Amino acid sequence: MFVKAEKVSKIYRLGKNETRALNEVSFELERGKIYTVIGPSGSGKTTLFNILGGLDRAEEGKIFVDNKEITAMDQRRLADYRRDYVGFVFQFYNLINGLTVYENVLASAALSKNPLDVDMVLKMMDVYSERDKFPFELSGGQQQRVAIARAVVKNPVLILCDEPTGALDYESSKLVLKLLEDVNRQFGTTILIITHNLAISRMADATLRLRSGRLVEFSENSQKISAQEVTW
Amino acid sequence: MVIKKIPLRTIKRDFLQFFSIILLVAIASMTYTLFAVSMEDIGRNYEMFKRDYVQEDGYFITSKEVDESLLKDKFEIDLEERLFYETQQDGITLRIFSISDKINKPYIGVGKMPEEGEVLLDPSFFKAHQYQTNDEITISGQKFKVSGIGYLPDYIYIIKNDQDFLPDPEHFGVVMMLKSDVQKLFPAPHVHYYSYKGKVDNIEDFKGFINSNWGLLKFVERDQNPRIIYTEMKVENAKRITLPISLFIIIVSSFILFIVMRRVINTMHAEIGTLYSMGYTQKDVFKVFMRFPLYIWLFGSVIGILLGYVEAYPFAEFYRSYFTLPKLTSFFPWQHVFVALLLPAIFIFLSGYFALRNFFRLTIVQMLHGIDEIKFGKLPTIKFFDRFEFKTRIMLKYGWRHFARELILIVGILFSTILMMYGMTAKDSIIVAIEKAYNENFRYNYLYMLNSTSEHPEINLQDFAEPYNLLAFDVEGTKASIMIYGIKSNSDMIKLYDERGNEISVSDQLIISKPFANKLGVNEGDEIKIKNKFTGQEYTLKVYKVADLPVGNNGYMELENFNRLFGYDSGEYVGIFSKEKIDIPESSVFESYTKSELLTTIKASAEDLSKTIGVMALIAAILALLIVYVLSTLTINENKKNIGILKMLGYKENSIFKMVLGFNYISFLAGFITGIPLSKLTMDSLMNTATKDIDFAMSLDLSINSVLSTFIILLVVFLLLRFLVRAKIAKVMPVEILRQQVD
Ligand SMILES: Nc1ncnc2c1ncn2[C@@H]1O[C@H](COP(=O)(O)OP(=O)(O)OP(=O)(O)O)[C@@H](O)[C@H]1O
Ligand SMILES: [Mg+2]
Repeated sequence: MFVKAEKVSKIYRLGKNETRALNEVSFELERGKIYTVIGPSGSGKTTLFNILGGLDRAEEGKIFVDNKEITAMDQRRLADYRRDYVGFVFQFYNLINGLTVYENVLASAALSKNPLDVDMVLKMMDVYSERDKFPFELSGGQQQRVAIARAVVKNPVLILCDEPTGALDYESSKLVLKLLEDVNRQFGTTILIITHNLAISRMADATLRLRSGRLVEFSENSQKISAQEVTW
Repeated sequence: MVIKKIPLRTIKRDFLQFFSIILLVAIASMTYTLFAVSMEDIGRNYEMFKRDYVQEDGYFITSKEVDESLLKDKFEIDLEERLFYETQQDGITLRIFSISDKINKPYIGVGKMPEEGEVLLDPSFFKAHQYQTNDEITISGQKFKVSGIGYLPDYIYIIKNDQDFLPDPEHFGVVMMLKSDVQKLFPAPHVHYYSYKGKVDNIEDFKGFINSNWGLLKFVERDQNPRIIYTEMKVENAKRITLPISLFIIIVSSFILFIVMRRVINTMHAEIGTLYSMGYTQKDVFKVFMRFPLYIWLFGSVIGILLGYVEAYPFAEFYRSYFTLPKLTSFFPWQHVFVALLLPAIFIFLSGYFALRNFFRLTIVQMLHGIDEIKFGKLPTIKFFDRFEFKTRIMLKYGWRHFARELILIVGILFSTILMMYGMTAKDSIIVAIEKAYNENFRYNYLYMLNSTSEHPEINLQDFAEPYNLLAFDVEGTKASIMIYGIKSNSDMIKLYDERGNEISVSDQLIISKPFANKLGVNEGDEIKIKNKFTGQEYTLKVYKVADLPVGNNGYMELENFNRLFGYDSGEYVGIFSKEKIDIPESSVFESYTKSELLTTIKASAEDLSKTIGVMALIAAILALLIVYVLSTLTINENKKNIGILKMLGYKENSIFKMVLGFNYISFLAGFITGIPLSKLTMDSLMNTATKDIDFAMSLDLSINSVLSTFIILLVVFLLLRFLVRAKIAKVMPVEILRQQVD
């Protein structure tokens, strides 16, 4: 199994109060597939994203990625894990304002052991013509494509997206989804997309549904359609 | 690493803000370099001059010729007679000295050593009268050729009389010529002038011995010679303020840098979190963000050092010509350049480090999500504010929230105030106060110092003249000396007032001047122990009153009481104050000067002084400007969203300004108001430490004028900034609210 989560819990304590943002969540993900995570606001989606990505720690449970237990890693090894295994795509892009499009992607490629060619990825994301612009000179959709380029260029095995289309209009959203699908097809990257948009689940191989920190459903999608066909 | 580019780009984007900090650092480095290098230059050259050209340890004047070898052997000193004479022509006094072989040898700055019929002129006189080498000069009707410029080690502050404060090269010059030429001009000297070199164990014995054998008229040790110590004191003073001023500017700029850095990091929180998510380590991020302080330090100090270094030599030249010190050697001041580089580095890197350290405490998730600014330093809310009207309440809350910032503003304004007051007061005290003293306290127009203390039957004193007697004393346990005058009761020439402006009449008790009382730390009613400079006899006198005189280590008593106390016969005196010029046989006069001479001198020198003051005021104003600018811009940038909301609600720019930045007014006033007494305090302590070991006293009083000028300059700066900042507020569009929500 590529990713294996065993009874993962994340607990926030505020005084006497205890919030279980994740409550004994267990699942398995296969390599090279697309997954979506859905659930109401506050159900623990972002928390899962953070822990899977090695940005945050779980209080209980274990997570294995490629047979390595990331829940047992110290800060330094977690940084290595993020660098070598994971690409992130955030809702609000989080590009580095002081760097050009090209440099933003290069900053990511520079950390990778076997990066893809920066210009090739920019072309693939259709932002090559903006390569010397700064993020504030781009539209939201363009920024998100640069963010995907930044995640992809490292050639990671896992790409995590937290509501990648959350701030985009329909057309831009569809383009972003298509590009994520292209990446999955071309490089065999495992992709996990957090979304509020149920329609997006139709392009995924499987969907995880969270409610109040619990995984309430793990459904395989037998009628997977291409990103192009997804509409809402 | 491509992320290395982030800091420079950010600096470019927020250019004015960072540039202001760079300027602050540059000013600090510049101030340090400028003062340190020029003072070192002056100091080293002076030490060399002193040593190689054998500055005297003292000089004395006798009425009879001294047996030189007897004195040399008895006190194990070196001794050399210096022929001297004074001539006056066209309102110009020339003091002529023979060129010595052993002590106080002249350094030839321009030209060559004079031969027969040639003279050297002192540099200030040479310059003031635009002489060229080989020009002719007429002295006592005889023509001489000017062979060049000569510097004398005992005339590094060229004043005519010991009491003078400022040099006056227009009306007074020192001329050096061969002994034989002096003898030809003035064949029969009636007093003898000796310079000595060497440490005399018992100075009282020495004086007593000279006095009893050859009649001592004047005895001045090196440390009491104003022509030497004024310059030494000024250089010492300048040295003393260098480090505190530069250090202060550096600390203020570092604090501002800290605040700005924190803001930069706060606005970049998500970006930094993203860097982590990409796999960059804390070390990588640290290295990148420490480039902010690195650039600020590099640009700031390098610019500052260059400016300071370039300015230092002209500045040293200016000082040198002011004090008539020669330049004998050049050097590169490695250690100062090193300090000017290192000092800011320490503070700047520390402030950068602390700003980052606070941020690094957050988890990556917190960085990505952004932590409310408030959470960095939680402040208790103050109920008290709720009593005020809405706008005032908001204003107070802003001030309270940006407490650290307001504090820096206060400290910055306070510092600028001190700096400016310092400059203003230097001018005020020396020029205005002396003028005032000569108009109010010293009402004579002519002062004559006679050759001896006696009844002077040869002089007929009319109504417009008053006799006085005078003795010089050392004050036990200090290096200070006091000149006690015996003057007529109800004198028309010397008027003394107490602190409240009431006239004090002289009696059998001692009245001393305020600066002298301050220097000794004595009050009315205290006793001082003094020792006659010539006879060594000791007296313990009670200080009856302290008179409000701006300068001088003077004491006053009634003349007859003075004579009785110090062993003179009734009716004896040594000098005359007069409203009008009087005819006294030349052989009786030792020294004389006119008040108008002195006042012109003061006015002439005012210009030189105001240069230094201008520089100080400029630095102070720039400092104030930069500090207020950086801080207000910062506040506006941070509060764009709130300003947008207020605008959307329909508030006018003026009201918004009042709410967001109104507290600055309070801080400004607070800084200024605390600055005034503080400048008085720092100046007094500076003056006291600087003059502790030497024979000089002066009180620095703040005048209403300087307080007002300082206030006005600072206010103009402040209002100018308001104007600039207001334009920034005008530019904030309500749409900012939306923009801010996205990031
Ligand atoms: N730093 C924190 N401290 C305390 N509680 C937290 C913290 N971060 C998240 N939580 C809580 O954990 C729970 C899960 O939050 P999470 O951000 O994972 O939800 P989400 O599913 O991503 O919601 P949304 O769709 O709104 O983004 C919520 O109840 C939230 O209040
Ligand atoms: Mg979320």
